[in-house]
Amino acid sequence: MVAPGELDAVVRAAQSGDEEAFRLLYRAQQPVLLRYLRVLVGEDAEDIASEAWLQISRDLWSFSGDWDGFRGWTATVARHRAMDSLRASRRRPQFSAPAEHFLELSAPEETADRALELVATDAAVALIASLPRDQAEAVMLRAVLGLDAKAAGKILGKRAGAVRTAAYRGLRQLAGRLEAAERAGPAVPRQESPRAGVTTSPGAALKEVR
Amino acid sequence: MSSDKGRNRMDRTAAEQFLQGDPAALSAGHPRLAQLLAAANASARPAELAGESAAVAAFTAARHSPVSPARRPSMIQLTLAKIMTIKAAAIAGVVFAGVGGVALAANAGVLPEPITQHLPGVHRNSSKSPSPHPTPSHSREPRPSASAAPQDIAALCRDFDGLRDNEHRGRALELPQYGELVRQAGRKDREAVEKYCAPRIRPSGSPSAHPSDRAKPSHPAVPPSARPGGHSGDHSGKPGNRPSLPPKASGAPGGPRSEG
Repeated sequence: MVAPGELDAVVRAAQSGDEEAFRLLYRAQQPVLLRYLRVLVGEDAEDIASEAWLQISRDLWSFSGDWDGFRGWTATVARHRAMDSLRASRRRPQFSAPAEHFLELSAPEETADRALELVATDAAVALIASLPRDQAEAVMLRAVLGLDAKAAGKILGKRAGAVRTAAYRGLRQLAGRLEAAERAGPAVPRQESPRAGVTTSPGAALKEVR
Repeated sequence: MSSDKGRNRMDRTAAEQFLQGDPAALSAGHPRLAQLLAAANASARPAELAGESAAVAAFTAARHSPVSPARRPSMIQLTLAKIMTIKAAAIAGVVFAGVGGVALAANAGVLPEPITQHLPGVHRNSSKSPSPHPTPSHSREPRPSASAAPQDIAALCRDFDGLRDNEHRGRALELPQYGELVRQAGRKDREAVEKYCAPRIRPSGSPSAHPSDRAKPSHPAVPPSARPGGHSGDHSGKPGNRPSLPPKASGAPGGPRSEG
């Protein structure tokens, strides 16, 4: 484990040119950035993440702050790249991910099943992506990137209170959908789901499982 | 959606507690949601880190052949320094015997330091001698005399002016190489520095209004000695020593970090 305090030092080391330190920062931040980008741009997420890291590696010298600041800054960079891309394509990908899908994939009793766990991550992100964008972003920035309401607000250009509200609404909606899906039918964990056909999502959850 | 009809209407306080890093706040009332967020937060998998070598390569490239405009000054200064040093050697050899040695050494190409790094006290008129310090230490004590030569300042100003946008200029003021500008402008404030620089940006016959030099010194920012002490050794020296993945909030579903 690298303690958060230690990561502050890693940020400084990377700024002074330490390649290994930069590598650590990448490993720490890339997975959550990628998931956040998936919510914004769907399957373009990998490309946009690469662009973002290009900029991050170029501009790191001018960043000032600690690990918390770095997380916020990288999210900002990623979001800018994503918005550029969305502007160019003039649309946000449509996400639709039935809650049942996640329930089928998440196997609480079979946590040892790593493959299923991986799929569940994608399904979870896809379900969050199907929220209205302000809620989806607030949930991702706070619950996945681990930013506080103020930092998330800075990225989204909103007040902290507005971010809290959006995140709360997003969580409430997710909970409602999951619970409704659960009531509707027993969510037996299955790898091959008969309901898979229901997944009309173009930014489909399973697409990028490798 | 159906949340309002749900058995457990979510408590806003609980949601906020959860988001502030208390996984237990939701797991009782909304186990499925907690599960969902835990899945979204699962640790990295190899495919997600597929771009690592590309990112690291970009980092290395940026370090070795910086494209950032902010790195231009060192080149400007370097060029100036060389020209000045030749003059300096000529003059100093005659006039300032004490300084002459250093200047000659510099003239011999031994001391390719940017002009901002003079030894305090040895600069007078044009008899500037680059510092023999091997590492740039921009944040040294204030200069004894009335400051940098106008050429220095002009070069710094032009460089500062060349930064991409306000955001970059604002951030750049944190960097040691602009310390002199901040001192001269009196405040670490972008507008103050811009105002200070505005009249000085005119290219005054100096050779490097728009340097075409592409070769640049490796990394301008922090000398190795300024790296965080014990840590830096750790990372650079023994990469394998370190667990590859920094923490997600320990095992906690959703594990957001503390509220600020």
